[in-house]
Amino acid sequence: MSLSILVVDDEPDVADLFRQRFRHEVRQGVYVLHFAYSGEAALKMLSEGIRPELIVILSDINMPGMDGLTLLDEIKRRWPELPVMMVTAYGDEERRRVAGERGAAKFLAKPVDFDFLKQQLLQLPNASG
Amino acid sequence: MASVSPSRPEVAGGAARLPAGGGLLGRLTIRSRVVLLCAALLIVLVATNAYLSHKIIESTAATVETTRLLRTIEQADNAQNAFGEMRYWMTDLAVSLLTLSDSKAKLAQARMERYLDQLAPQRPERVAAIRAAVTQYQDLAAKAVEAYTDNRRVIGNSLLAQARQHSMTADELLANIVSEVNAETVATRDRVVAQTAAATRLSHFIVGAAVLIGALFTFLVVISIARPLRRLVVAMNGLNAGNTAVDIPAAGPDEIGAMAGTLAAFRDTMRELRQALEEQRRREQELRAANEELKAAQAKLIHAEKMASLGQLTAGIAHEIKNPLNFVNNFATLSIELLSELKATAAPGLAMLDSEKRAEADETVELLTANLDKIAEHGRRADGIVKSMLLHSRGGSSDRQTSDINAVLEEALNLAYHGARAQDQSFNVTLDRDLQGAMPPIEIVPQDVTRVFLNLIGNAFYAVGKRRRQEGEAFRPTVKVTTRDLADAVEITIRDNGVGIPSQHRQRLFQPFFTTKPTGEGTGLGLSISYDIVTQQHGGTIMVDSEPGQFTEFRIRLPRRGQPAAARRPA
Repeated sequence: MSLSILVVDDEPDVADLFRQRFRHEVRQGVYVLHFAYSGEAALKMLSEGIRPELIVILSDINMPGMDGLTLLDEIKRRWPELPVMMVTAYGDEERRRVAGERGAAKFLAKPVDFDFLKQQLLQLPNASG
Repeated sequence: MASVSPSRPEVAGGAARLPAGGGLLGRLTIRSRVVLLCAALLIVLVATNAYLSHKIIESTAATVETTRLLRTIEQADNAQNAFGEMRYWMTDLAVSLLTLSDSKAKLAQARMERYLDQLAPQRPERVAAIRAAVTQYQDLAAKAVEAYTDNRRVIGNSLLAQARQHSMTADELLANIVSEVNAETVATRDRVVAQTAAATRLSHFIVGAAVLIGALFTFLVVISIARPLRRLVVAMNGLNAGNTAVDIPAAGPDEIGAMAGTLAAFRDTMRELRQALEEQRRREQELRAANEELKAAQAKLIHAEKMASLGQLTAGIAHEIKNPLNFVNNFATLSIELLSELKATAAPGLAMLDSEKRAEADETVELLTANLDKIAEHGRRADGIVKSMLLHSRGGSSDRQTSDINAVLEEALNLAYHGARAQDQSFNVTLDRDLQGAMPPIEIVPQDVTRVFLNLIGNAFYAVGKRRRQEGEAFRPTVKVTTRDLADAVEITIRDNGVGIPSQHRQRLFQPFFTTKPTGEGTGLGLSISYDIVTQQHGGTIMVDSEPGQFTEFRIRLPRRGQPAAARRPA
């Protein structure tokens, strides 16, 4: 049973990086990766429905147009159960705190530690499902 | 403006007083003194003159009197001679009875009468007595002549004898007159001589006394003018030379006193002016200093502002660099993984190649792997630098974190070194690390402590660089960092062998905006901020030891359980 992960980042190379990092899991059919290059695109994909089941959204904070925190608010409003992890280069305490208050499940600093991220994914509520 | 107290120095009351009546003279005006002196001298002159004139008049009168007396004597003598002649001719007549004798006797008598007439006003009684005696003599002589004419010789003789008695009386009277007048003349002469001598002596005495008293009086008057004048001149010279503390004689009732009063007022005015001038000069200096300080502060503020915006810029740039750097690092490590996977996947195919080709393929894969390792390694290095830049710039966390002080110090040291190298390619320094192994972690705010280390190490680099420029290539710049575990605290020492800190700067070292660097190079905030971070934020201490031209050593102690302390900055 595959599970979906949505990555939201305005940087196109992020997609390549995630595909390569998760190539074994994707090949084995554990995860299906979806990419959105803006907050608006992500909401569109979410409202159209993502198959197989989406277990987490990884979102950048600094993006042109809708930024990550606004996207977070919008997701929390419409799909409160959906876990959102924030990924940013600005790893300061203030952003970490604000993101936590607004419902982010996790706060990851760039560069992303993929081993740590994979462990976190396994602990998500729907990971087993 | 501070007013000058008009206390006029009481000038030498006693010393200024003139001797012998100077006080009295001093109370008169100079004009009065001169008029008084001239009047006194004129009075003496006039009095002496009058006295001498009087004495000359007296002498002249005495001379007239003497002349008169001498004429009287002459008249008396003449009268006596005429009488003697008359007697002779009378006697001759009596004897000879000649008419010639008679006429001669009459001529002699007439002459005598004339002389007696002249004498009469002088000696009327005597002349009357003489005339009586002469008349009697004449009568008797005439009777005797008659008797002799009648030849009555005896009677004639007797009559002649009687007549002789009277002639003798007349002679005697005349002689008396002569002797009397003689005596009178002598007396008059003696008196005149004596009076003249006395007058001469007196006039000599008066002249002498006048000369003496006049000289003394003149001396006193001159002194009473010259002495205060000289003091005034001294005071004026002093004032002219700019000495406002000079003594000015007390103001007095005379003209010099008035001058002294004016001069004292002038001196007071001069003092006030000078004080005002000094005050103004001092204010000007203060203003200039304040202006300089303001300018310096402004330059520092501008610099600080530049640095602040530079800090923000640095943070922005660091972030922008960080993202692509992440990709470099990620893709490099990924590529290493992919290469090893490729190697495993392609192993059966490779095994079919001949040994030479296989070795070549293996070598290529190994070189690629090594290159990717190098890319990843240098990427990590760049990432470390960017991280430190972010840590040091704004926006870093101010939370206390359990940290390894050695790692924090190392990071700061590397960052400072690369910063210095980036600024000056020729910069070099021997970094001596003496870090205590197995250092237990400590709770600090790593960003802020890093900032302190960066400041101190940056200063150390500046000091050794400066000494190297002074002493040349022979000088070996060295910076030594030491950490020590003191159980309840950690001690960090940063020591350089640079130019050192002069003792007069050590007091102000931690004051904000104090810097010895040229304007624009230092904000003067580094040590001030470091001091606040160590003492107030971490409750630690920071001490400095330095020997100019030898070394500077900063010693920081951070307590393990650092309580923020409201430590006071040293004045």
